[in-house]
Amino acid sequence: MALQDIKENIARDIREPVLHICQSLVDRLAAMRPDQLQRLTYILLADFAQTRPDDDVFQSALTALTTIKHNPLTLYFVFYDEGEDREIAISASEVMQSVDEAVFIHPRTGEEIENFTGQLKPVYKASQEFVNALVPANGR
Amino acid sequence: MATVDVMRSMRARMPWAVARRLLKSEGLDRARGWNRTLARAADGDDQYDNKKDELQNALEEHIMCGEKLVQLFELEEEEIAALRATALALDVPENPFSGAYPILLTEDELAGHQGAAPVLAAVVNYNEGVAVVLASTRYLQTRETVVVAELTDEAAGELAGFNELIGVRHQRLEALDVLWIPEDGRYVEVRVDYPFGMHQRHGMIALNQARGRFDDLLGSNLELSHVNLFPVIQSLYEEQGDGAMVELGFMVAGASQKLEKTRRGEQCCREEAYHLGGIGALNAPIQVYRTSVLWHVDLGEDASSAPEVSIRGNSSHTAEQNPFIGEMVVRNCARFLDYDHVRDRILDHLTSDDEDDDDEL
Repeated sequence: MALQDIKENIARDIREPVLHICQSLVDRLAAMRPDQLQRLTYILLADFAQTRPDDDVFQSALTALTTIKHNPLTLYFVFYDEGEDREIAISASEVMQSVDEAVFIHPRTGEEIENFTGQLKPVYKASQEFVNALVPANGR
Repeated sequence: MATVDVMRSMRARMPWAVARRLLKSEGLDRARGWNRTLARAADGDDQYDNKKDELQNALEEHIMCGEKLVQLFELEEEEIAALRATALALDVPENPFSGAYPILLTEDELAGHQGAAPVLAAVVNYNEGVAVVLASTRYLQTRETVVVAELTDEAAGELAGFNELIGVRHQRLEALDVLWIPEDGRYVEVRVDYPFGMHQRHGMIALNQARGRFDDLLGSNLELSHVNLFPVIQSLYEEQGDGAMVELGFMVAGASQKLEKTRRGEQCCREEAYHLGGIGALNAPIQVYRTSVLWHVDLGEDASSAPEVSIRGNSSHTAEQNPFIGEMVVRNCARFLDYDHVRDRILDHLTSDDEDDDDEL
């Protein structure tokens, strides 16, 4: 699917005022190199959209961009591994399973982590479909 | 009290790099290193004996400002005035710590107070503010390389199979934790002793314990006014020329984590060529989560101090909507002069961030 198709899909399926933020985010992300679209935080995306991270419309826009057909963004989580001072990426489906089972296992040590929900921080990355669309559009 | 007691107390809490500059600013000749300098004072030295009062003042200032883990609390003017009045009305009980203050107990004397809750050791009324001081015994665990040549032949023989020997030393320290209630301004501080080698989690336990004890003594609830220092990191990063940034941790949108350090005092991470080149290649701003900045402060007599502040978050703070860091480490301060410089710089960034928020609303 081409970038233009993704944009038209967004314009057709999302309503204002959310649409406006979605479009500005997609335009901003489309101007970036795909390898720099791997860890997009609330603060960074809010900066792109020139709004606050806790703004309701902005939050709705992120939900729309991750759930719409041909979604440009993918939600995942990061878990901070204190022992190594680095993050470990956890897929949204793994997190959902952990929440359902009320058990989260440290990916490196194999130990069960208590009160894990506060230690899993949501972030976003460009979906593979969006990245594929960027390559012909940007020539990179 | 004797000059040697003052020097021994300074030795117990002051890194040599700080002491060297402090002694120089007092016009005192130093021997090489702490041990030789302390021995010189112990042997009786007129130069040091004549400066006993100045050295004691310096020790007291270091108790207020030296090697601290700090939390800030923003209060209304009336609340601070009430806190100050309550603090000044406190009755300091008789105990070994208060009896000796500002002289520190020896390690043997501290053995009798291990595990005990912090006790009120002093309330001091300075021109710039009131200090409430808690004393307790804390442990510091240090790891040292064991020199095989210094072992007995029998011990060395038993350990012959090891290439390197590491010893763990448990050292008792007198911790003096301070509640600082300023004469001017709206920020009260809890400053706990945080010597090199102390784990941050132990520092956090000490902070929480001290804050709880201060609340008990003064009827306050400081946690409600706890100041968030996370925005200060970004503000410091953007303020090129404000001190030398000697450590910088940040995330980039490409998901990589960067930790840059420079040799202390020589170069600033913000202006370093590799950093500028990397930033220039990015399509999105970096997200900073950790920094250390040092400044140079003139102490007089051709001596200068290099106080340093560290605000240490981790990468996951940048993934939060409202990241909060409540502590900063302030090191290498000799006196009020250099500590106040660091605190004023931080408050400047803190209040400029508040003003930016107000502008947005």
